Amino acid sequence: MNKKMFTLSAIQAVLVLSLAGCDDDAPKDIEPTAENVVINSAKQWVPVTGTLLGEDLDGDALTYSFTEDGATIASSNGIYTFSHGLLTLSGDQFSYISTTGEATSIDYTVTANDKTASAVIDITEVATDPLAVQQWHLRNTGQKAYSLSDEMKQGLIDLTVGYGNGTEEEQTAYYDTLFAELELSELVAGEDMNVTAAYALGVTGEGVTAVVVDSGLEINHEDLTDNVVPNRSLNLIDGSTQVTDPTSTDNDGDHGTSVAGLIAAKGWNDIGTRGVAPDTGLIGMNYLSGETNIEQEELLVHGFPGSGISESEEISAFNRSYGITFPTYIGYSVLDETIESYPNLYLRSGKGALNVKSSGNSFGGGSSEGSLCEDNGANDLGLTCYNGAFEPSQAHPYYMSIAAVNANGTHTSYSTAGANVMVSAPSGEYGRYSPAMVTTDQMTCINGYSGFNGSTIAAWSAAYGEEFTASQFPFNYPGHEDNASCNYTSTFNGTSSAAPNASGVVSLILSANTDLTWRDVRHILAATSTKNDAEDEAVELTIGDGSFVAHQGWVENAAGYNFNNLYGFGRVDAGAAVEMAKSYAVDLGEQTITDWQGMGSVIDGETALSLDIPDNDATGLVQTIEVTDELTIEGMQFKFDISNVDMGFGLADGTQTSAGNDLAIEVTSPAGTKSVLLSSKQALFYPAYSFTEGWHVGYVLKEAVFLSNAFYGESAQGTWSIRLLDAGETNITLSDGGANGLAVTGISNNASDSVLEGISLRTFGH
Amino acid sequence: MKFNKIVTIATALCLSGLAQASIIDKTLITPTLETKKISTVNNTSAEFSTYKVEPLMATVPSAIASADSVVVSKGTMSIVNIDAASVSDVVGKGSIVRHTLTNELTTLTGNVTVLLNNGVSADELATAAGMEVVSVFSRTNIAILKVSEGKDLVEAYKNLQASGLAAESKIEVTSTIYSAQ
Repeated sequence: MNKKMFTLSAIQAVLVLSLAGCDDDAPKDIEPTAENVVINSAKQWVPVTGTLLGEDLDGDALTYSFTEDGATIASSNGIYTFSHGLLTLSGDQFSYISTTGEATSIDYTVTANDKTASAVIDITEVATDPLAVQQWHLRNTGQKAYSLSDEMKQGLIDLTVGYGNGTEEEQTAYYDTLFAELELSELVAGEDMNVTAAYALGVTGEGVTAVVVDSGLEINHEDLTDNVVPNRSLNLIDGSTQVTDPTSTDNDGDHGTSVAGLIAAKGWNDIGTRGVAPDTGLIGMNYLSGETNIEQEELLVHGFPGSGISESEEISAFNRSYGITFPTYIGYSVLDETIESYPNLYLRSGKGALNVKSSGNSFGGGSSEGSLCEDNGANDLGLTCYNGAFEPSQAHPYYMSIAAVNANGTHTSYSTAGANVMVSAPSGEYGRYSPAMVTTDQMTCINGYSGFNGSTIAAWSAAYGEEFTASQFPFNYPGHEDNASCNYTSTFNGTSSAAPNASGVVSLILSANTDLTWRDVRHILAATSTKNDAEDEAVELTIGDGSFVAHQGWVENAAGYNFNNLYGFGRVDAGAAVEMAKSYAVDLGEQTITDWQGMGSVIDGETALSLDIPDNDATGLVQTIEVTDELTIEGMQFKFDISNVDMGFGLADGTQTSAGNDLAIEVTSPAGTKSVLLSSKQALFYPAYSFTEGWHVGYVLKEAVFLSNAFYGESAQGTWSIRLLDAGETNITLSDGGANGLAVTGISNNASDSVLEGISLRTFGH
Repeated sequence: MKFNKIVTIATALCLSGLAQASIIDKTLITPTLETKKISTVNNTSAEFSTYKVEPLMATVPSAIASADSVVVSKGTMSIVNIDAASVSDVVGKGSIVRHTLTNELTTLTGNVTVLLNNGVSADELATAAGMEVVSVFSRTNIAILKVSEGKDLVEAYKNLQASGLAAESKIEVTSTIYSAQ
């Protein structure tokens, strides 16, 4: 070693020693590290949790940040929103919800003392249902659900131009404008049932079973079979050999199969759609088969012994997307009430299952009344032509009537209104200019609404040709890439759809808390449903020198519940309902049902009243009934006998009396809340009817019972005031020219006043 | 009927060129919104309960029904016209009746569903009506009675109502009055 080299080494040694001495005073900062996190299994819309693997060996505080495609994702209210999902963070614990169902990588960076390290959260597999992103009723992002498609627009342009109306440019401009306007007005993000919040609470409908009482149920459908309870469905057709298979043999669509998919199409199986309660069991009964059915079917579809449903089984709901549409008031039947209340009173070990009933599709009108509601102004005013209470099964709390709302949160064009409506649920319009439901359909393109034999497809093809039809129903017409086997439809609608969506929510509620009774479920729905269409306006009619509010819009009752005859307590909110169910602490106590209380012919042993309802008079006939029972109301029933000598099958001059058309009824509770039972301009076209006695000629209402849910939570005690009105001096020429069930050409103002013969009320409460 | 509506729409499109979306959508009928169509005046008087007996009709398997005689087909079974010589004097299981509200034809099962008055047994009522007990659901006071072999259901039903032992009763048929909505 030479001298110079020794000197350099010595200096280096001193320097090293010197630096070592510095470390003791100010330790070197160690950079943080980050490792990749792998999530191998996730479900779309269901939270998955994990831990971010950031570390700093010298204990510096860690902060995390996220990027997507190089751009920083900022947190808003604690939520990081990616194009594929939502992430929340607490310390190093994260919760991620995939909104799109895609496998993905999330870039994250850990920072400690201004030093950083990066890694990824790898979500390698997300179970999904490919059509769920179009199911706006579950999670409304403003998706079109195959309505308002480019194919549809072009088809309309081609058709119109083909008819010689305008040029291609003119029609393109017209339809571009129309479709753009409709996209703004019809597709409103957020107008849904908030099911993702229920899933986020870990509730997907497991442990309960819904019964689909309908036209059939395709038990081997690819998206239903995993939820169908084996060998428990009933084929009610007499002489059938496949007694546990209610699969419909029709080839143009099976209503029940589509209904079942809305309740409980299997979730996260990477097939088709998702039910509201994707893990709820299904039993089908083909009550509406249209064939010759077996004896005692009416009892079987209500779960009576012999139906195979045990009294302790966790049946959540009997979905009943059916009813009768006829322009008369059908009288109440105690026998029917006894049958229909069986699920509520005896199943689930006495806790009760829910009957979930479609409210009807006759807001605009039915058929046998012809053009009545076009000509009497109901359609233009926005008054319901039929009232839900025309069907006696909707006049007691044991059936829960469900109304229908659109993808923009407003009333559908068809959903029958009435004070009997409990809640509403999405269903949509017709799937062309506005979304309908995307749900299961009979399998293959040979059967079902989608496919060659679907009744709409077949009729349109015959009328317009296949090319135009394919453009108007792109998803249902064979060949759509999202529906290659035609196992799904995008045009299902009606309160038929609203009811199963509500049944799905009921199933989630009872899955969340099996201790709840049927009355608890009603209470939860009343307390948690969304006040949709908040600006819905009242309709006021001028009657003589006065006026009458025929539709009230939203009314807040004295117990704080918002109610609307179009929507009941509003659109069901699965998230809020499940949250309340999980921590439910309300004690409703024993149900009390009072005796009928009132006067006249509807009270046993009393003689009929004879009180005129003055014609075209806003004051009307006011009757009061004093209630002494101290009950909190769960439902109020009102019963009437109202006669008119001319109420028959038409007058001698070929018209019908206006006695039914003009009748309106408004009830005021002791707390001052008003509820309109009949608005007038409703389709009381025929004389009253009874399922046991037939026609009651001379009566507008006979043993007619109305349910009002509007007083929920109020006290029944005090003075009830009932105002009966003849709401007009009505003389109408019917534009149908006599093409109605009575073959009458007009409505003539009632020559005699209608007469109140009996009036009473009954309280369901606690 | 649906076809006619569609043709009407097509005509409207031809004439107006720019049909409004809302009008089109409201007019087009989709299967899920169909309701039973009532085409005639339904002022038929009931012969018993809400039904009118159609003695000149019977139910036969569709496979053997003569096309000329079929009034309505109900899947594997059809309601057919029969000649007067085949008419039974007794109304009972299998008899065809017409509902006075819907005008639709259906078949009697021979049963009556009853809501018993409190304290009345199904046997007591059956005896009074000349019927037999099929089922009793005691917690609900509901019982199913059937007309005895060879006995007339109309007569038995009158007896049942006259007995005053039932709060309410309903003739059982093989199809529901309800339809999808």
